[in-house]
Amino acid sequence: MGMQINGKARMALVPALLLLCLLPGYAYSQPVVSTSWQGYSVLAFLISVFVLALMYMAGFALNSNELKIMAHDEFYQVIATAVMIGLFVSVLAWVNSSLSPSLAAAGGKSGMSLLDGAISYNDGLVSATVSNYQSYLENLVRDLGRESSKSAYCSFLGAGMNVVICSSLNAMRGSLSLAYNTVSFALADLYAQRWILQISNTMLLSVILPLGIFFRSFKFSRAAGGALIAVTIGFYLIFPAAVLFGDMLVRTLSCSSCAYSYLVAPPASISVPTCNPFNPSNSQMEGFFRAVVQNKGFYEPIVFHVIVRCVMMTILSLLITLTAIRSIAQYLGAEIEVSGLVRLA
Amino acid sequence: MRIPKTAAYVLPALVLLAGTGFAQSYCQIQDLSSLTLLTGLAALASAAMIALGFMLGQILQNPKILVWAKIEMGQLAVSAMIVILVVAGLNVFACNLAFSDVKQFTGINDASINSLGIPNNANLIDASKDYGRWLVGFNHDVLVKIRSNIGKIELRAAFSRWECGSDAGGFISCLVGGAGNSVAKYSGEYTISGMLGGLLNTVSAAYLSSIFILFTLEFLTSGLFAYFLPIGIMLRSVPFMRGFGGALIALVLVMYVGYPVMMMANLFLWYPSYSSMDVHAKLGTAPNELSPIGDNAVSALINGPPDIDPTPDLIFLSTTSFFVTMFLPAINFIVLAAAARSLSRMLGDEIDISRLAQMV
Repeated sequence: MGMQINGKARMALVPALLLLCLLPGYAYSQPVVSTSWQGYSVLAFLISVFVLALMYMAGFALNSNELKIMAHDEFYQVIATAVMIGLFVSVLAWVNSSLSPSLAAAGGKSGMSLLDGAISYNDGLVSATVSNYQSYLENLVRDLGRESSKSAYCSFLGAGMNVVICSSLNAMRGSLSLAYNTVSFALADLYAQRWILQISNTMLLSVILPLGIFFRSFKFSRAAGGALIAVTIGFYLIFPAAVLFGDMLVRTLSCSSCAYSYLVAPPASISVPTCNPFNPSNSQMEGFFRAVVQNKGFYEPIVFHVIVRCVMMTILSLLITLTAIRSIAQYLGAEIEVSGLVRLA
Repeated sequence: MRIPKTAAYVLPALVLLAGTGFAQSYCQIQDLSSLTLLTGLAALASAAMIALGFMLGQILQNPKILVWAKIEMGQLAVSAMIVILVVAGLNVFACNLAFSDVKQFTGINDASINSLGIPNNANLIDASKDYGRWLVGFNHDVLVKIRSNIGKIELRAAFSRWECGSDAGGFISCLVGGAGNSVAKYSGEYTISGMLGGLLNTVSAAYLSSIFILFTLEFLTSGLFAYFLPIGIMLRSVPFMRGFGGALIALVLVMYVGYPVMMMANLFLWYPSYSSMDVHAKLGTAPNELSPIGDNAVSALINGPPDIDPTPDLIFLSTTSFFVTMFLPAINFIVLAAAARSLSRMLGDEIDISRLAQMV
């Protein structure tokens, strides 16, 4: 008893069979990012096809239209997954060879891949933040603490007097401490960004992408698979691009009232005056206060570097990435809740 | 009497379900084997209830009761199929998939991963628990490192030196009038201590979070969530509660399969960079948090107390702790929430993940 296949089913079968013929060759083709995930993806695809075939047969045996319709719908999803696997391999090859270096070059990192460019930029920023800001401010608060703690003591015939006259230097301690704390937490932001870039560069394609493709092959885990693929695209492509373009955005800032370029200049070098507790120099102290408070070259670079370059741009890159992940996930059949992560950012 | 078509689904499903009850224990998850049997009994009890309803419908010749019985029988078959899928999923993903398989899947089989000491034949849940224990230890080490440095600073900042005659005219002034000045050379480090206090808060939260992760995995193997399975099956057979039952089953699947898989994904994502990012070198050996400057207090008084660790290293360690224990699990939560939502929608009622996300 032969089974009649109608026109629509035949049309769907043609691309499916072609894909099935291509898949074994693809499984043994040159690996793009990892040695084994393609094989597992093909295996997942074949398992899905097998399960669908069983479902379709059960539909015929039990004369259940529901089962047949479900198998039919799922078949299109399986084809979509197969196309997606092929597309991913092609897109990744293109991204690695062409798009990524172009984006990196546009972001001022010629001759590098997008992620390498973003890592190089981030490392430079960490290095500048540590040497020009964090260590500098740390030494300043140490010196300030030492000088402001000095006290003078004098005694005569058992009567004595202790004067902590240098403590007036402490007037600057609050603002310098605030600056130091802010710089330190900005450094933490940059280290977190470095970690994201690190795992995106080394492990995202080997771990998360294959897992995503594998999960997307099955109806019950499709949403999780879609979310994982979206996370991969977001952190592999969008995040480093956002980091580099954030840098570009900052570089194109024009500030008419700025006396110099904040991008290259570290904060103006000031030092805590040596305080003699028996004879403190008022002019030295006043000079120090002025250097801290009135000198635009001291606080402005710190605020620009810390608030704009480190904190704001890091958050912006993450926000752009999370928004993109959410949109991409919707296309891949997953509704994801990123509001919690945005709060974390 | 004509046998309803749904019987064609129900009978093989019930036979399979009975078989699963006697299957091998699932990754030593306590109670899960007996719970599967309980689930089978729940399904049989539901079938008996529906059969009684069907008989009553036949006696009373009430088409409403007959239709209800037919619908419920179909749903019971669906429930039984779901249980079989859940058990199969547990056996394949969480129990039979070994740590070595994951290494092969990812292509990462280097010395750094092997240094964790997770046995190759450990199943995903056990491997996740091993990783959870390691994570707790790592966060504790970072916590101790920062706390020890805060302790050092407290001692250093209180350290003051009496410089007799120093700025008061020299040695004669010192001898005659006892004049001199004192200086607390390290008192500026109170500022650093304040910053480290902020880091300590972050690492403490990460430490608690890692304990939470470990306890969740322990609860999984002690069978806490497994109780949702028979409850879910029974509720799916009760009118108006079908959606809720489906949601419970979805939760079981996500917790037992999705959670360990995501924990493993976390491990393979960041741990290979443990050495290349210098985490190990920066962490160093575990400091003595009870005696931050060591036992040689006299030497400390004469030469000054020992220096603190470089603060950028401490910032890096606390960021790493936050990243691996809070950021990556937050991404996991997004993926698991998406899976739970779509699964529960498929099985019945939609879980309100957005409220859960707000709570988390």
